[in-house]
Amino acid sequence: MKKFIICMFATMLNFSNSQTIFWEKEYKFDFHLSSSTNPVILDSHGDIVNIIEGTTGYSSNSNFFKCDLMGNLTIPKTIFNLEMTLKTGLRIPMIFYETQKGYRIFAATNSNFALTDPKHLLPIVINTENTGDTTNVHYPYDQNINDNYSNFGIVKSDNISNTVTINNKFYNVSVNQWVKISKNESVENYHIIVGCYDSTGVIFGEKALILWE
Amino acid sequence: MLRQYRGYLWRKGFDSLGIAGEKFTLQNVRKTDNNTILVLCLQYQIDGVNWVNTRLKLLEIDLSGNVINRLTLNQKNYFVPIDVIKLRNGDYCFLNTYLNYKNNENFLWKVDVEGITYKKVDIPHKAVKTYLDRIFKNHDNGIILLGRNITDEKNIKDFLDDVGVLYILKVNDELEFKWEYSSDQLLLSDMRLREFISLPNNNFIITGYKNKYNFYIAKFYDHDTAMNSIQNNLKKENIFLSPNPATDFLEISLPKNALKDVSIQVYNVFGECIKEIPLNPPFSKGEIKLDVSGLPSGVYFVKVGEKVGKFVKI
Repeated sequence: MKKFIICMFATMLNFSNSQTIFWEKEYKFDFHLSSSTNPVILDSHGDIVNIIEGTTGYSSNSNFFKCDLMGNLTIPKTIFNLEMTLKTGLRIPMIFYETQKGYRIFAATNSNFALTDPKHLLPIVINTENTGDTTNVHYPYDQNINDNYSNFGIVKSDNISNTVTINNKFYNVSVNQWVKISKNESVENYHIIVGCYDSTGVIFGEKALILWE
Repeated sequence: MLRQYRGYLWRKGFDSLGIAGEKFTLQNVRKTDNNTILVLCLQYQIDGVNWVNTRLKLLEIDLSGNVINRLTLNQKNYFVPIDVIKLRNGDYCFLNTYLNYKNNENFLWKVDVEGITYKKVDIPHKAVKTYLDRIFKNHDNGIILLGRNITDEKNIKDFLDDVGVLYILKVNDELEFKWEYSSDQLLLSDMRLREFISLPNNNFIITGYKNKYNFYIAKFYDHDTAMNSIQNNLKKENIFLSPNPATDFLEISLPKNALKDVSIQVYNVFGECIKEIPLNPPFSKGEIKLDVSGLPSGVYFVKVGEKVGKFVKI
């Protein structure tokens, strides 16, 4: 009898390796999702919140949507409107966190592709309501000043999320191949850059020149 | 020299390599439960078109920008680190892919804070190829891996356009296999499974992109977490069940302080509650007779509040 019981238990445990899927759902959008790497959060209201990049044509946008715990899409919304940035350019959400009134989004923007490397972007911070409606936007740096991109800029990596948020601050991480050793001179010397930005997108410091160990 | 900027907000450069011919790519950035930042990089050289001398480089950085740990790991077979988590005991667990296998074999690598290998486990591909993209820590300290299986060679185009099926794998923190889930219907292309969200009651949600335009979300039940929860409670067992094994009736002797609990629940080995009997106090003796004649043969758990007992129905 004892042997029988042990065998039965082992068989049933093995059988329990299959998992139960309750439901699966999908939603089709009219913008391109593939480059988005933003984390998805379960907020304090029990909603699953996504703020993702969507590209259409030559521009990209921040898109906000919420699902309830049954996977139903309750709010789909485009966050940016044309008054917030120039008509062309990037508006890429990098990371976000929940605030008392809604959400705070750390995004990357570059108003002019010709100005600099499109991977090098300037930070902006967007505050929204719980519904995704924008309450205000912080533009800490002038997008038309070229030096701002190298001094205060952030980098968006392809296919990975390279920004985290901790204690209401944003940390952007990148690998830099060329290190500036003077105003006009750089040397190839790969290194990691980590920048800490506050809740308005400001990186504190004089000029955030790159220094390394 | 590392220079701090005025105030506590900062921007810093770390780890200048200074080695001719070395390349260096950022592979992932994750935050830990202790509010530190894990920066995972691949360091390599190029020989013709091949990546050689691959090494994993990890920096752990605190919120003041100080490096609190720095690891460089290499091994005989060339590989690419993909993702990292920090386990509760401070060890790191890396998800990696071998470079020299055509079928995209992955492996998990668990090391301690000094980079000493605790365990390395290969994860063989399940179909034509297996892409594992993300690694997460579950609330039971299990490790969840998200990816997809490429089931048909005809579907292989390039890395982003391969068409596969959803694949989820769970191992425990000792890197022992617990379960896997492979969808037989859902086709995913040009996508990644992005996020794992642990929910109460042993449920979890995953999200990702099915293709360029479709957002995907699904909810699962984790039987293994349910089992762990019950088995952890068994350590606190102080319910006496008799006879055990039982055929028709089971007598449950409860401690006095359990009488304030509102019901007795019976779970099967899948962690599913199959019977719930309300307690109608007062139970002066703390003994209850439970009719188990209708239950199929098997192992069951009786739960009253936080206390759990196990019995076998024959």
